[in-house]
Amino acid sequence: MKMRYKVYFVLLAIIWILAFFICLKVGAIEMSWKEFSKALIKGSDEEIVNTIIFNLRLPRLLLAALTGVALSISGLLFQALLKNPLAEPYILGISGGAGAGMMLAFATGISPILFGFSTLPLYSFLGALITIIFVYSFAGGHKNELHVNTLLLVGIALQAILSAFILFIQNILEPIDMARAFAIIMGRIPSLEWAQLSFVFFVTFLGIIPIIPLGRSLNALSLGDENALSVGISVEGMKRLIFLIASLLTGSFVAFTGIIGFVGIIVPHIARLIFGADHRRLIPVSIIGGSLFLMVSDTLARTIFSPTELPVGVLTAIIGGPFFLFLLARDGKKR
Amino acid sequence: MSGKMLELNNISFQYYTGSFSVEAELVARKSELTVIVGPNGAGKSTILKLAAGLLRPSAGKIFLEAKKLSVMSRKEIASKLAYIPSETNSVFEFTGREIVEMGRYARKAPFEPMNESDQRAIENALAMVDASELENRDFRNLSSGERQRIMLARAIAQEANWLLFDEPTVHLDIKHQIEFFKLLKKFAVSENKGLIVVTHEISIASIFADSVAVVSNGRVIRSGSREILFDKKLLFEIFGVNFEFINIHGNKVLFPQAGI
Repeated sequence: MKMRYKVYFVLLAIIWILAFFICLKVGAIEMSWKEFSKALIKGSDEEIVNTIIFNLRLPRLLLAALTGVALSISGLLFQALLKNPLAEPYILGISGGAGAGMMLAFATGISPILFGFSTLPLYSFLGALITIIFVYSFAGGHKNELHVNTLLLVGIALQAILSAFILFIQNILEPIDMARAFAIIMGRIPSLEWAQLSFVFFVTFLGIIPIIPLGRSLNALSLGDENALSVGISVEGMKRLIFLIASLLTGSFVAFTGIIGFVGIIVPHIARLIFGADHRRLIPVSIIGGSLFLMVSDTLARTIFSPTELPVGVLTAIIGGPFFLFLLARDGKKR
Repeated sequence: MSGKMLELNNISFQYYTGSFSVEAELVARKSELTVIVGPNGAGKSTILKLAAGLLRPSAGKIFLEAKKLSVMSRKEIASKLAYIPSETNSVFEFTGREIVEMGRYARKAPFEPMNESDQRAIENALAMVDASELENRDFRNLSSGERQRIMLARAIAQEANWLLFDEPTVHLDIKHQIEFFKLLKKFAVSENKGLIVVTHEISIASIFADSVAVVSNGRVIRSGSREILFDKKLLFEIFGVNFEFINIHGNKVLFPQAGI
């Protein structure tokens, strides 16, 4: 790695650590740095402070970080596979598919609790996987005639349809209380129990580990299927792996957080501006940058209108929507 | 079958749409420049992609140095054969050098870093196509001729015995076209490479080709030595244009009659 990138990487890591502690400290209940560091090191004398930090803010912050990782890596994978910097789980309708899968399982009652864990993530994962395959085939991908612009249109249309579907089901179930449906459509980060959080950690590692050695393959793939084949990459294998991992990451997270859009566009794009296009750098940078981005976004979402909270999905859409349009306009001019 | 040939044995292939099918029989030899010519839409590029293993034939066999292409892994194919498309675009900000480096991927395990000899291969390849000054440039901002040189450097860095080109000279002016074919010819002989080139430049092909395959309507209708390019009747049938040839320093050169 070039010297310049090493310096940037160290800087990013330092910012990450600082942001982590600042995000943990700030909130509706204020505390001084002294009080905060005491609580972290040996526990505060006031039990309520310990509860707030270790049972509310820390699990929430960690879930935000992991969600950021999952969405950024999914975005990065789709962008390489589809040769389009605008591809992302939300834009492609895959988050919507996950939400719809979950809603359907909930409505039909086919998601029992097994060993203390909800099986909803399984259904959101399946919803995501089916949506990916549908969108990809609809845009001609299975015939090697992928129309990338069609792909984005299909995804956006599907996202609208699936959101409506989620609201529709909710309306049939409980027309008075639409909160659940809204929570799926506009995602927010909850404070999970530690047992659930460890499951989320496990899923994230399960998704990330197979990606780590694929930097070169993603480089070759992002220049086109033929290009990848001709330098010795098995494109079909890569495609299946990306579909599976992106639906695992996107799908299982939607079950916990609801749909959080645009993270997968913003993070890899900024990563590329600073670190170039080589995926051997972009994978670690998207992991660190993605977690940083969503930790900060979620902290903003819960503090700007304190004591009321904004769903973080609203915040990422407000930032990400215009960002998407900006990229669309810029790339449109180039073509 | 021989260790020095790339053979397409009674290949047939059909696209999903079913509108167009290809049947081909072709032999290319090492240290030769094999040229595939034919009108637009004749199936030249399809035949080249079949030979490169990018498309899988529905029937027939392809032998790369006496080994069946269909049983070889992607990495194995890539270490023996490089394919250079007529145009390569990137939406991402790769540098010229990063693209050339891809030529080395097939030789590496996932975490194996690029070593001294890889760097040397990359730099030699860049120097060979006169593209050393492009190594740190953003690939997206290069001209199509410059991009083509980077792709050629990538193929050279791949150190494959076989190089397959799809219309490599479409973006080059006449001087660079001739230089490019000269380079290919030299490369074939001095490095003992087997080269297959799909091209529309039949005049230039008639100067440089060692062997020629004429493609029309998805079929290889004639193949053999360069001499078949001087079959005026055949050329008229294929291209609908009358050709003449002239003698320059004892070499026959083909040129089209423009009807004036």
